[in-house]
Amino acid sequence: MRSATDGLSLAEFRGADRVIPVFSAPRYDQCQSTNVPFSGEGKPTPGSMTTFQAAPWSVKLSKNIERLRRLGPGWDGPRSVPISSSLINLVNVLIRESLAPLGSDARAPFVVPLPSGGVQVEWHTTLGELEFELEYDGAAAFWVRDHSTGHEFETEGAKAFNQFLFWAPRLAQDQRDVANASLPSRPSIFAVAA
Amino acid sequence: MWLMHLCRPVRPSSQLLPDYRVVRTIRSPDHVVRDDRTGEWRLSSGAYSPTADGLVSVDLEQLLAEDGLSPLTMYPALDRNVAAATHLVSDLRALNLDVVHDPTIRNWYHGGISGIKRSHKQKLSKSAGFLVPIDPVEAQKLHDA
Repeated sequence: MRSATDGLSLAEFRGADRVIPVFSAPRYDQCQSTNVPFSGEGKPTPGSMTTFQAAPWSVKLSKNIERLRRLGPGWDGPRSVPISSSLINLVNVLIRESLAPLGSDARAPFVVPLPSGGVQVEWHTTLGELEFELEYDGAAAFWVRDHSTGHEFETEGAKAFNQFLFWAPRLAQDQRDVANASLPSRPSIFAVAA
Repeated sequence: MWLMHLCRPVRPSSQLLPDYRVVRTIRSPDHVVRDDRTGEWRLSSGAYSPTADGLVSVDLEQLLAEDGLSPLTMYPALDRNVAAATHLVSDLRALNLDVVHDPTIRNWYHGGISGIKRSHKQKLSKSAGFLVPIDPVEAQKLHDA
């Protein structure tokens, strides 16, 4: 049986409400600059006009997250409960952290609410499938399937968080990149699981 | 419906017959996800995640049929509905799940699937039949809204 201590402690979890989420700042190569090119460490020349454009996956995710915040009691039948803002913040940070290395070339996951007050993050891509369930008390479960081998792997608790952070960017990478990638070079799910 | 809720007795599980179906109203964007492999919308396993008391909301075809009503009678009662998924009571019991009558003031035909564990959720989302198949246009529209 999973418990809150398997993933985040309840104290840490509740504390998420009081913590300002720290999202990865967009890299300069994710930004569109006008007039003056970036120089040096990528810092724009003072006085240049710079516009930031959020990656499409980020915009889509934000929309998805906002929808979760609007769910009220009974959204999925009697006794279904809204998702707490601390859980929504946590899952938002987790997804953004895991996809940050991909820049703008990522696919947004589906983040679906669970009637118990939890959320589930999902990708169903040509490479494989991933489901990461995060319950209202911080208990986590993870499942991944590699379409190329048919192998599946699942785990719970703290390992679920680690596996999510490892696999999310792999499944979220844009399929245009994957077309040129050498699939055999990807680590096997079971190799990682072992 | 509230009068039915007050006056009619709750049906024991043992009297819910195996040949009838339960109907799960599927809503977008909460219950459906897009599968890049097929390019189609499909049920999320999250659609079979229970509430804290362990039930997944359904309508009971048997009770509707006994009142001469279509299994889809309660389908329009919820907004954002894009499909009606079904399971035979016998199929659920074969998975060691049970079906209970769980009437509410708004829906006397309401029931629940009980006993769902994480391993059941994917099985149910993949084995569902459909009285109303997923409407891809509506599902996309509600996702984009």
